[in-house]
Amino acid sequence: MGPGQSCTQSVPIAMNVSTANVHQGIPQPVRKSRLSNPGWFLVSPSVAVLLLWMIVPLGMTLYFSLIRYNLLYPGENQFVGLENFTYFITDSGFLPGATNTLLLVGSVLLISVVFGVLISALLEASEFFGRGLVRVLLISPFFIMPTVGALIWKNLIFHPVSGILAALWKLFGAEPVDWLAHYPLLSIIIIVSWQWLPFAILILMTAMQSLDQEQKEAARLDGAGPIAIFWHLTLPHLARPIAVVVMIETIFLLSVFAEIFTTTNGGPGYASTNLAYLIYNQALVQFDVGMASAGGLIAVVIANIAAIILVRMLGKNLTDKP
Amino acid sequence: MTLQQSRRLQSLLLGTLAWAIAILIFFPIFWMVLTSFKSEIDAFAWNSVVISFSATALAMLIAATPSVMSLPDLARHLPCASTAIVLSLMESSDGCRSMLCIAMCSTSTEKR
Repeated sequence: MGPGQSCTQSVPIAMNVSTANVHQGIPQPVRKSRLSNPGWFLVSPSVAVLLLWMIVPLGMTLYFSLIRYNLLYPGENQFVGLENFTYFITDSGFLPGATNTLLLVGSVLLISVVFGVLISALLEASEFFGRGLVRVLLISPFFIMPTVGALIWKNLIFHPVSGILAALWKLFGAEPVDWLAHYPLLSIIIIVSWQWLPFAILILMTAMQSLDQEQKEAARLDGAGPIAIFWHLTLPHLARPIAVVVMIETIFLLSVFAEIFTTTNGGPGYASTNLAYLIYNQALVQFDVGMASAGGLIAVVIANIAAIILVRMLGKNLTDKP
Repeated sequence: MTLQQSRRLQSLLLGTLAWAIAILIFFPIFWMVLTSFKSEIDAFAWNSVVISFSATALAMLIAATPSVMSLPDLARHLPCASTAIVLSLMESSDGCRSMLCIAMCSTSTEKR
């Protein structure tokens, strides 16, 4: 995850530096060496610390992934090449884990962006009694810790005996559903969406407040209805904040762990296991650090692929002024 | 319907919808807070909601019958009734719950 984040962050900075050089470099006949600049010397300690901060864990993971390293067999740490990687990829949990990760990230993103846009548009549509309180209520799930949120949903809502949904089902004469056993992935998607929808609402609501009211008024004078205003004015205005929401949420959703650990434990079978949980399972349940490191590197590669795609697709939205 | 009336109606409808969504999203946290006041056995009992709501409705009926039944009269009891519901949801025993609701609603009528 670390390299993925640093990749997304370093791209705009690198672009700024290169454009600055192009603009400044032409009029100066004698270019000063970069090393003669005292700033380089002064900045170097923090750069070195940050580099070590990133490179040491990555290097250790790389090293562990190439040796046999099982905590149950101490001392047998011989070099095994890429064996850990082949075992991890051919593991029966890898394919469901990767699919579940994609399903989880994709559906939570879809739910939070679509409902986030609709709810924030509803809040901005008109003045009504207690709007400030409604805003606070809508954002409040974001301040609940993931473990606590998962436990609320597990014990108070999804539980087939004491849960609210069970009581609702019984009220209508239906058999209560054991959500976490029969629809494990759907339940986790609901829990994670409940936690991340407030974030989308927060970002999109503040973005919507910066929409130029005069444009809206002009559109209304030209005879545009509320739906036309929403589609042609509000939604294009929200393109950039939506890109921000998608990027930040993807980074965090790829590593969802606490919700799965406290509710379903990845089960039944591999039905709700994602890659983060699979790596935890290898390292701290089966004590195979080597294979877990291989899995961690595969997850880093997948996160970087996602980051590159997102930067290519959405990053232009952030840097270019339309 | 004048323009102002239609705008007020629109604001009312959108406000109600927004409140409904906000309450739906906030409900798990609210429920967690309520459950934190209950004993372990009561935490497994869902019927506290049924009892407290029906007891409050009954109490409002009893309290409002002597006077002329009118909507503004009932509306005057609403703050008291909602307090009664919240308080009785926190209570543990069922009999205590309905007694509390009736007591609160009748005191609010007497003060009037």
